Amino acid sequence: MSGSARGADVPANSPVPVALTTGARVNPLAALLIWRLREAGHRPVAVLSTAPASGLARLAKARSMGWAAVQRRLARRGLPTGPRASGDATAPIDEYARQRGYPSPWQPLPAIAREAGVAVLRVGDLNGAAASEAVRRRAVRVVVNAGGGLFRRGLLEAVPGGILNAHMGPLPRFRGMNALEWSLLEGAPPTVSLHLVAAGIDTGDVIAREPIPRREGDGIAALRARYVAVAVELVAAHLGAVAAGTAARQAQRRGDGRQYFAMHPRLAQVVEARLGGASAVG
Amino acid sequence: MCRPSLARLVARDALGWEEPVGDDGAHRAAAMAWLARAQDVSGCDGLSAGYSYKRGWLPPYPETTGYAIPTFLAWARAMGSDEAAERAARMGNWLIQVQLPEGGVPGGMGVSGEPVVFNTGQVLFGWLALHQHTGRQAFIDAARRAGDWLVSCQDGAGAWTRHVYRGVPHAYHTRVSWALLELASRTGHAPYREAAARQVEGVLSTARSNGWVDDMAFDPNEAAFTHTVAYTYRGLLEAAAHLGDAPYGDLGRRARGVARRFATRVLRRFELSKSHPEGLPRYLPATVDEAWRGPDRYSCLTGNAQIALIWLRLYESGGDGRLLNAALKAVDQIKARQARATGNADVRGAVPGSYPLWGYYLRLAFPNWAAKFFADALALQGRIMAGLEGA
Repeated sequence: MSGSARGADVPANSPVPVALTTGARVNPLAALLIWRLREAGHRPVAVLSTAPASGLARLAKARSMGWAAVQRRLARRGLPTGPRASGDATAPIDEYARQRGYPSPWQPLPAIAREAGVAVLRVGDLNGAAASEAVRRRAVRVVVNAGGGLFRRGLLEAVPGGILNAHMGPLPRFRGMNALEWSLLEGAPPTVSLHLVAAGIDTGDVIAREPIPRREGDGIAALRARYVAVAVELVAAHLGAVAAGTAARQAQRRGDGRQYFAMHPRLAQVVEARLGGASAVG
Repeated sequence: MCRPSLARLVARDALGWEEPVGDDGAHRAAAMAWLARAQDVSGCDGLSAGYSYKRGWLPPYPETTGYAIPTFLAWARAMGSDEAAERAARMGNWLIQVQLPEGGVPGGMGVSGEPVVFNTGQVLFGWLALHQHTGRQAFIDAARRAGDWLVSCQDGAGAWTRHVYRGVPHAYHTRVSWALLELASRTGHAPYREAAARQVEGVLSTARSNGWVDDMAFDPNEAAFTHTVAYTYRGLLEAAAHLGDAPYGDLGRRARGVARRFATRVLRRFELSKSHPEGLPRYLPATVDEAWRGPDRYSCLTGNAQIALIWLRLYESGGDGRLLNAALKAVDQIKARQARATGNADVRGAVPGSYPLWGYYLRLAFPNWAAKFFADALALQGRIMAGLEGA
């Protein structure tokens, strides 16, 4: 474990001014984080959003993704995915919200944020000057990643307590994309790893790990939904210590793991088959 | 030149639209049907080198006919097809007819060329596969004559400097070494193995820490196409399996290590080439430099299929799922460029040399080797996925 003095001037039990990121207009993870962190006594002050705001912006995103990717995504959307083995794959998210007495996290995030008094700031790029300036102006101590893109130097240097990410796989072994699917394919238990973001992909110090609970019939989509509750609770549990610089940190060594890339749908189908769930590859 | 099928393919590539990506079997069947047509139109039993919108069907090509034989035999086994096996046998017999008295096989398209080392080595694969399939002595006799000629024209340092394309030694002669090692295994004749080991050692002596080896291009003054780069590393990888024992020390391990470094570096380049996190990887560039960068705005599809094969072969022996994952994506890209939805039988099932079709590598043409390596990749990928899906 390695310590840090970055937040040493902040008591561990004081409210932490925190910003969230999002790349989508509807984002249950970000919504639940807003409510849960407020409940834990912290102060969500801003949402940094890279979500396309208009048809033109969505077109620009499609162009950036490449027409072939859009073509395939549309084609997949038209395919029947079969009955879900565990009912609605989003049920674990709704169940968590109900248990905590929250409203539906599937409402548009700007409305949820407005209601909670959290500013929504549209930024074209999380690493641009606008995002950095926004977090400085609001004295944000920690940023929590809830989507929107990769982090680079600009924002990393602007946040004194660091950027927290709840990674959907056991670190350091499974870094990168589709870590849940890759860990399942390789026989590792589904796990959330809370870590500080560093310059490399998922290479920052690990704060905590927590298994994702599995239920009979869970497919990939259901496990992804269960991830949300685990991630929210991990952030709520450790945010204060991270901001205060007192969180236990486990440094990662480069050779301890591998960077994985987006999983091909055929491999994801293999994972689904092994889970015994329905095909929900996308 | 002014044909509806060409206009459609050009429009497809210009707009970046894809052909429907289907299951492995359908794409492989289409490629094999087109390869069969390439034999039927050749005027002999060899395979036409391919179809060009500029020149029509090209003359038969001994080299690629040779290494297409195992592809036809694998298809024959997969489909229980006597016809495919019979086609392969006719190709092998034709190659015996064109084999030159000294044992070499003519280079280039047609049958009037001088013997060339690389081309001869590739034909060895065909004769060895046919000997195994049919047991006919004529095929192993032809292979021995070719092997003896290859050994005889190697220089003392292990390179082939005579009877080579453009008069320069090539690292991709590792595929000749691989063929000689297969021949040595079949015949027990040690000089074939020794010649191969010398050549592999020479190539490895130029290896850099990132896996790059020198002299992979057709010409020292040109960039290396992924086609010949993949030739080089596939040769090293397959040769390594034969060179693990005494008296070659760690030659096999080193050859495999260099091939693996190539595979992982290119995989990373490929996977990180996306312009958006939710996008797909871009097609690999047609040529690469010693840092594995490529300046091209077009892709050499046969090279991509060959690289996918290397990823698949390494996955088979090591189990790193990222290699299989990258291969699936690269093969999907080729599926999306295979000309399936066309009324033109001359190109239906064929794989273009370049994407887009007007790229510099075999512009507006469909080489038989692109379809061959694509079919090989589909076969191996299908076998691996069947194992995973059935597990």
